[in-house]
Amino acid sequence: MKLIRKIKNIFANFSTFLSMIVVIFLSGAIIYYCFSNGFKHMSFKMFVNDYYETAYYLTSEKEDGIINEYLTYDENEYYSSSWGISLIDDKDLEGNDCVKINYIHENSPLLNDQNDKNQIKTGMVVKRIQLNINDKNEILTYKDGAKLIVDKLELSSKINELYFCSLGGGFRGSLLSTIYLILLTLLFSLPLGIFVALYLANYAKENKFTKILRTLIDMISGIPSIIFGLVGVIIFIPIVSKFTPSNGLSIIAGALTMSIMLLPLIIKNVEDAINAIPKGYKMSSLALGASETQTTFKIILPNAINGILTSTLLSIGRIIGESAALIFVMGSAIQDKVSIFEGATTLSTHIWNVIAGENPNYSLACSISIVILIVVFILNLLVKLSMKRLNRFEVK
Amino acid sequence: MNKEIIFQVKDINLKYGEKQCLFNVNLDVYKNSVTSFIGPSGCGKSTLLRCFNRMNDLIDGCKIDGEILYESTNIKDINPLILRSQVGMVFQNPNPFPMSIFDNVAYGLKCQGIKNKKQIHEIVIDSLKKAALYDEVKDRLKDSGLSLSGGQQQRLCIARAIALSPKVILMDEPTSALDPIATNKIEELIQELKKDFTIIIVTHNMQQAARISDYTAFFMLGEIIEFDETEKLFKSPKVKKTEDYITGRFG
Repeated sequence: MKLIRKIKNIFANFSTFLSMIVVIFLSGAIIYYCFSNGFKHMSFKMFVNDYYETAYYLTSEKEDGIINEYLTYDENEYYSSSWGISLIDDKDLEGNDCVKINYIHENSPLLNDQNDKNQIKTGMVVKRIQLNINDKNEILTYKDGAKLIVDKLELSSKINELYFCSLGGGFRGSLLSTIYLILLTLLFSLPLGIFVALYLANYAKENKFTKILRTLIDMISGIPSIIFGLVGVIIFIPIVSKFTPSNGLSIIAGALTMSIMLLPLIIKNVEDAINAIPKGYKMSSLALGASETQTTFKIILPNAINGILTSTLLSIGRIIGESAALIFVMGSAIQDKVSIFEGATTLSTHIWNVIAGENPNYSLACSISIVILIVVFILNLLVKLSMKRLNRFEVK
Repeated sequence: MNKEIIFQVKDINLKYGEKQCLFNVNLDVYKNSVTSFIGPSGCGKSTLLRCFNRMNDLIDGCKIDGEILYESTNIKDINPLILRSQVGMVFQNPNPFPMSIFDNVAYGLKCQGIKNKKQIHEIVIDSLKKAALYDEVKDRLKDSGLSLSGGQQQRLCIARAIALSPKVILMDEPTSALDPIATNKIEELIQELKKDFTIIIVTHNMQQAARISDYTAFFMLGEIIEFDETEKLFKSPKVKKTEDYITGRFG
């Protein structure tokens, strides 16, 4: 008997520890994967750059004289003194090789005869260059490296065509549209959720109607998000298209869809916060001649602020993490110019976009994941802090 | 006694759902006096107290028969919001709002729609002085009301009630959560407030009732057993039950 009990205990303890280790390993592995793949390509430029490259072309002829003032070369930087331009081997934001323009002298012939739109700037990348060397055409691409391009530049008398681009691969547009989506969604869902919570906690009598209402709210929180996407397409997109300049996919329709998804979360949190307020506050307020409405808005609502804050933070987390419903309603085309009346990608759908194509770019996806992970981590910390303040009534 | 009557309770029967809590209660409350309600727990003292400012209206399933006259007007014909600003109430547990001391006292005034800041300031200071709290808090009116001690909190609640310049103050066991020193201060305060207000106080402490009140009503099982001047009731009770209760033979 004793031995069997011992074996049972060992087995039970072992499975507890094993599950614990598996969970720690799995969550650690996800974070490790994201950081190991994405961190080396992280740079501040990702947050401010456009996703798409803009291509420019120019032709230029060599002028007399040598521009030789630029002397602060980097180790792998090459300077063409006759053209007044320095090139450097670098990696772009997605981790591919590129040749970047590191410096242009103000007297450089490349800057002549150009309208402002085609102005060549430092930080742009050279894609292809067609040179005239001793009346012979020679084509070089960025794959040849900065050194070779500069050597050939020195020999050439004319650039037949220089194809260069602004540096792409950033997610400024997606970041901006995520922020728009968060603000719009909170604008729609917070007032709605707070008022429903006030109604349920303060005004509603326990009857059949409130029972049905509560069941409905619970049901909404169990519906998979892709169905909300469908609802958004069928209901919100036509409505939004009718009343705004939008035409089809739009951030507004996405915000409306997310609002419906977040309502149960907001209602539950705010209602709990209202129920945690001591009944004495309401009674004393009423005994002081305040009306029910005044009590609700001057006593109940200010004291439920922690619940409102918690639900706001949780909502932001959900909005950042949502992808399925938003692909339906906001589309998956990455935009650099964000308008709330047009479709766009959030950070999550941006990830979907970069790994769903023919050449999935996992390192960029991981870089964006790191941003999302950090934001969600900070939000969780803030939720814990506000929860702590929520329980302050119990201390008293 | 030829005193002015402020509240006249006539044949009140009160039911919470099926359960009857008050049976044929008749009572007169005299102006500028302290009336105390004593009796064992669950005898309907607090229930009757809540009838005076119609707080029972807020409880589902509460049905009241009979009438209560406030200055010869049936309280059912008075807007409860106006009635409650005339008949203030202080609860058992000190429960200042989680806002500053100043805002706690100004809350009722703001709810009444008074916007003049100078006027509000004057009334708040005056109320705090009347509640014998001003000297203790004058330097920290911006501090939270919850930062005060229990006795101070209860006096803040009294200040909050008298800021609306009511005629009557209802007190539901105001000292049961306080220590003897704080209780003593509240009792002194009640003697002071008697000059300006009519006070009705529910208490479990018979010595307190004897010390501070002018009239005492003894309740049992939802009925008023005896109502008289405090001195008469405690020295020569007419009913046997009252005598048993105040001498501590039961209850």
